[in-house]
Amino acid sequence: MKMHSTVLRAALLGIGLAALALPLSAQITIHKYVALGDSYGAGYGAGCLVTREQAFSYPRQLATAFGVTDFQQPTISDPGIPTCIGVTNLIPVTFAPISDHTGVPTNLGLARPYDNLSVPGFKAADVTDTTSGGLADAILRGLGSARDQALVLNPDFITLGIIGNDILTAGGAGFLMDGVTATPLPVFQAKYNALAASLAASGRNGVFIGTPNPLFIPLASTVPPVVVDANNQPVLDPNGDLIPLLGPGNTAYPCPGGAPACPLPAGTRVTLGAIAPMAALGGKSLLQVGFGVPCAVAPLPMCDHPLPDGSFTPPATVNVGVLLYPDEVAAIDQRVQDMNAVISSAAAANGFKYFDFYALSNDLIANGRTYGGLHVTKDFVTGGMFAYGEAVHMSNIGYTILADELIQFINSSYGSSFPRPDINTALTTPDLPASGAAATISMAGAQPVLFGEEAWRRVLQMAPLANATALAVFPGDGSLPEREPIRTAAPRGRGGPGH
Amino acid sequence: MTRPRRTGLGLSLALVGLLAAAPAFPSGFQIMTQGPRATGMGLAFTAVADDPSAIFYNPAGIGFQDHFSVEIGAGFITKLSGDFSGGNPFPGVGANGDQHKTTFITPNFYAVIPLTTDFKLGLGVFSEYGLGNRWEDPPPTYPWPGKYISDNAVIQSVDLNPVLAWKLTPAISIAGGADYRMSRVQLERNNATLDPMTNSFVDTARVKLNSSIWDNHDWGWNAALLIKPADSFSIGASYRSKIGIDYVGDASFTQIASGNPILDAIVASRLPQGKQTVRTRVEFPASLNLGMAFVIAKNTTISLEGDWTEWSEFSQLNISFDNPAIPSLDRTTNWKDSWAYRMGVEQKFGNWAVRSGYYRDKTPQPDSDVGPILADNDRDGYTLGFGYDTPKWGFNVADLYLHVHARTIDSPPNTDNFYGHYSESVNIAIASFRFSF
Repeated sequence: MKMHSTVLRAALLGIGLAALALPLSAQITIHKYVALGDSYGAGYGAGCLVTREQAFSYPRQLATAFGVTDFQQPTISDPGIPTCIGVTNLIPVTFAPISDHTGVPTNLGLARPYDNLSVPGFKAADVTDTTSGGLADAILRGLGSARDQALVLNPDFITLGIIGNDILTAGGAGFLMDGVTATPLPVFQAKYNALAASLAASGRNGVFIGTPNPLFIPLASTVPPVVVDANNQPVLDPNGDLIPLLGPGNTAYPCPGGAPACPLPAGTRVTLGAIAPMAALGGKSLLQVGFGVPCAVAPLPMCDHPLPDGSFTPPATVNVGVLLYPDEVAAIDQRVQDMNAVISSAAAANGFKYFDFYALSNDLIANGRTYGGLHVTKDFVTGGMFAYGEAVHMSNIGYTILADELIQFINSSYGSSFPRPDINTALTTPDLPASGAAATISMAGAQPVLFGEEAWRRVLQMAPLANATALAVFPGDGSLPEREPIRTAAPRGRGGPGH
Repeated sequence: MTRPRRTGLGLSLALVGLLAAAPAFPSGFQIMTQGPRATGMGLAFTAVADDPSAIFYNPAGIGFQDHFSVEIGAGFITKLSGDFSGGNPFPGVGANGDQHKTTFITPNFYAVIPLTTDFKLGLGVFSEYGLGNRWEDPPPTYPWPGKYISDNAVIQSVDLNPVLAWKLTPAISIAGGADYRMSRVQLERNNATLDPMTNSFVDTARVKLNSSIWDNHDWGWNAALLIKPADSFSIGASYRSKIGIDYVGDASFTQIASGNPILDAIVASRLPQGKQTVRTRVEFPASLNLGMAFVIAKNTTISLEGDWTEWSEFSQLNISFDNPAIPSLDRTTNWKDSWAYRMGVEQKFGNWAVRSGYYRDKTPQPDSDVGPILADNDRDGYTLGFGYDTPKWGFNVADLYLHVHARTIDSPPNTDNFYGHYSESVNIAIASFRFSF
């Protein structure tokens, strides 16, 4: 009997040890996963939503890692909605819509809500309050708000990725103004907290994704605030110093003596809008016609005139600018950090985890990523992390990096061991329409530009002004009091995703 | 770095070294199979050291050798298997690789010259360090996914090691020597560029870094002790200093057409033209071998040994170009000091002898450095050998089967961000002739 007891104890000990050796993935199992979010969650890239890029959305890749087999997305055929942008030449770099028409939704008949309910352009309030408009028509299909549809699916895991549309317009328009180019923080906080509380449920896990450093996206981190030559090399003055571009000054950095133009102070950011050829400028960019350029350096038609800074003209006109003075950069950064504090608190208060995209973006800015000798950076056009001509959205490569980081975060947070994604596919697979579809794609209308007017306008279309009645006026769209009269042209159509 | 004078002796010895092309599969990249008697005994030879190969294993051993002797031999290193299967995130599940399977030859030469009864001069020529890691594109058409890091990494070295042994007493011998090491390194890989028109990477250049064994060399030293307090017992210690070699070589960049003529034109305008001067430095580690041997029965010897190698000296591998436009290739290797534990037995039957041995060699390479350049791991060595020795001549052979433990790299940090499963096995056959006068 004693021997039997010893054997039994040994057997129990063995079973216990075997249990300890079980894979950690046993600690969390995901049967139903739903993603709420914005364009990043939707897999929006190259100025469009299209199936071949939606396949790389982080929700799609998380679902694969979770082993969720019936993860449905609102897929759209090539050439995307709105029409995707492609690169048609490299010398000079040329972007253009890849077709003269758009794609169509290909999964509209799904008899239940999509699992990926991320809608490009969505702000925090839109997740609960918006049911239609623009791409929301194709994604929400009149079945209710994204939040309501998500709850219908009763997921046991949720990601909430509202990562920046509540502040993005400040960068796109060139100034931060609550209620006009940014959602007031109290409004954001109230909406986000209510949304977070409504998502909480027993047995439900998930991740709330924060907002990245605004300087992560190419919009305000690509154009140097100094004069450069045709090869993008800095032009030096006789003393060997860099030559700052000219701006109109602002309250914090006024031009001496009330001068209409003065050198940009260190730390000023110039947005991609400065290099976007504008129809109103005869197909040239603000810099190309001389705005911001001292006449002593280049006697261009508009030299010694300041680059436009963003401003608001009551009652409802947003004068889109291309400058973010240091105080504006700091204010936007502080707002992002305040928003992240809201997101982090909301996650903690409702049983979810907070993913620090801000810290990740700082790491990616500083180090990029290297995989097997292939180095990826955030650099515009050449870095690989952002899509063609995109001021804001990541590429298939970038979204896979984000998915990889999220999976590692989930594994560390929940003790799971979900497999990381295959980034080699994203690194080496051309992001082009499938063979056959390409035959229908026209490159007509390609312009030799580094960043296009259409792409610039889409930045504000993607994240509409907080004041819905306001009208964004781009340089050249009309006669602006602080600007020299320039040849005007009717603004291009504002089609696209809209809200 | 000065070019060595190519004396007749230097030339002949260097030719021996060139024959030792691309040795491979060592612990880290150290090669201990420098004599068949030692190899047959599991490389536990520091306390035995009773033939001319003692110049490598424990030069104090030649203090007890009273005849002019020459030993000439060669090792035949054959990779039996060398496979890689990829993991996520890079190169991804499904990616794979095969190591080139061939046989490398590592010649060695030893001469023992008695000067007096107590002083003996020795000269050894061998390759203590080497690496040959060449990856092939696995069938059917999938390219080797590590080609952007390395598809051919080579380190070759030739040591010229004169030593002087002094038999202090009938039971104690000490030795010291100089170690002149010549070496070359080679690295081949592809460069890839992001094609902005497809937002994907394409191969755009073939890069080959190479150096001459004539131009890269430095000195080290070694010292040893062998004590035989009784006929049936001996203990030995052998130390070799670290040697750091600064390499100067050439780099060539050959364009690969990407299929995008616009991108190709940009690459062509930026690709370095002609030979580019490239520099690097390799720290070859110090080592200390400690052993003891027992004659446990008539004609039966057992040897035990622990070998320490200061691999922590190999903490960086930095490759720089004189042309500032070419970015340097720097990696932190962070290797750790390692130990190998060896045991061997020799049974003599008159002039014949049969030997066997086993060792466990701990890898010095951390997970963070494992990659296409080298994927090392703990290994078990199983050895068998036999020989026929007379006072005038001897012939010995041995075989070593090396089982390298499979190694899976599945989580960061990894310098190359290159994940997957490596497996490898190696066979080393070695033979030598000895002539004594």
